Amino acid sequence: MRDPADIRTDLALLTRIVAREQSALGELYDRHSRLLFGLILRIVRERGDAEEVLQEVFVQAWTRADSYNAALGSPVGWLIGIARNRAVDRLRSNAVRLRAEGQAMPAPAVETPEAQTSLNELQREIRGALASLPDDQRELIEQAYFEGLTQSELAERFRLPLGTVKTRVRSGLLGLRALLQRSVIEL
Amino acid sequence: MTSAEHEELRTSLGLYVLGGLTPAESVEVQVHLVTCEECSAAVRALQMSSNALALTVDSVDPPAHVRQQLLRSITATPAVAGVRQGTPKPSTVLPWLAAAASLVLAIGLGGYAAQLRGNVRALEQQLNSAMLQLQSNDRQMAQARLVVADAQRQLSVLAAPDVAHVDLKGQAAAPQASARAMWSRSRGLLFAVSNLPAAPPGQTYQLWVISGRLAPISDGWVFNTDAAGSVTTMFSTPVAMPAPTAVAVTVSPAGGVATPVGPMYLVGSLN
Repeated sequence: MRDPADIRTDLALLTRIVAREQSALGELYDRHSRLLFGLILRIVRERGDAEEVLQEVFVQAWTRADSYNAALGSPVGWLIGIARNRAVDRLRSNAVRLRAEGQAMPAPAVETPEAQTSLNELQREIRGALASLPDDQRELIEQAYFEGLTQSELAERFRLPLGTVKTRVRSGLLGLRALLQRSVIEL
Repeated sequence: MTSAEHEELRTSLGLYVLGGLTPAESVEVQVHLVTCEECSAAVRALQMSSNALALTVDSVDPPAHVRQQLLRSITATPAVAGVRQGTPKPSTVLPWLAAAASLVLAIGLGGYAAQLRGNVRALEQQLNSAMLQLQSNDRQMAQARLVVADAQRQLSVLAAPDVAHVDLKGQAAAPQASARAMWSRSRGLLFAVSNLPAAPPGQTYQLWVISGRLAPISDGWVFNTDAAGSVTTMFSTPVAMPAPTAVAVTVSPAGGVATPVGPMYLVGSLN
């Protein structure tokens, strides 16, 4: 759960990072690297790539902490955005390379020996909310978010008009937001 | 914007936060968000939903060496806030990528830099000639000095260690046009455009810097093209300006405007 104390702690760390305190970056890493590494690994699928992308995320946090805008979300939301975008960039460049080499992409990494065996309360709630969305919305959202598919790729894969893809993705995300409203999730 | 266009754009917001739109569509949304509080609020809500998806994934412990490498890399190269585009690190692959990226940039800019250096040399000779003419024409010499200084400023951007570049593509209003913007926080923004017809009478082209979801920035950055549809010009940028994620060109009333109003002629995202 992202409570106000968590957000205040992260904001204080970002402030210290802007002031070039290297220990603050270590603390920020200790707080969020497990979450971000799980996300990155889920997207890029290869551990070596995931390790590099994770390092890139925190280097960006170090060099660009002053670009964080509290009006757009919490610090962890900012880090998630950086991690997801960088992971998708890596996934796309790998896909281009593998296609050029005539190889198939590895299967998505879902479970690993280090993965948590028990879900925390927030994870359960978000997974439940996602599962309760209509399949045709949930599948589009998951493939856009975790596979990095663009609108035209989604339209082609699901054989849908572009307008339908846009509408379903937006409706699904708004539905998810409504379902999670009670949790006061500030991401 | 008509209500139908607004509705069309509103429908795209979900894919916008998931990064599924084309670069041109993303910039169009960013420009729209400046003036539409309703859509801005919707984007914030959609972004939180998007971020929540990250929490559906199991957390995984990264290996200890990642943390060690990270802290070693930032110790080796303390960054200047908001300036660097990347920081070298002791990974076996990333230095390669960084070197490759630099090489690509150097190849792309090399020709232009060489041309500018030639121009500077020629202009310096021109300046010397003007001086040798016993300052018979002070105005010509002053003008030559200005041109030399301008060319030197352009070169300084190309040589800046923090230079970032954006390639812009012509949009429906000028599909043949293309441009490149090169930005250095300390030295300014160099902009070169070609195949862009002269702006309509009474109007001017205006350059906009877009940084994430912040309002497009243009500090009076107006220009027009020559008869061949080209121009290369320098713009001073505020030191505190957020780093661009995209650059766009619109048509504005003469003198420029504070927020974009006309159609987009060129747009591109940070390479």
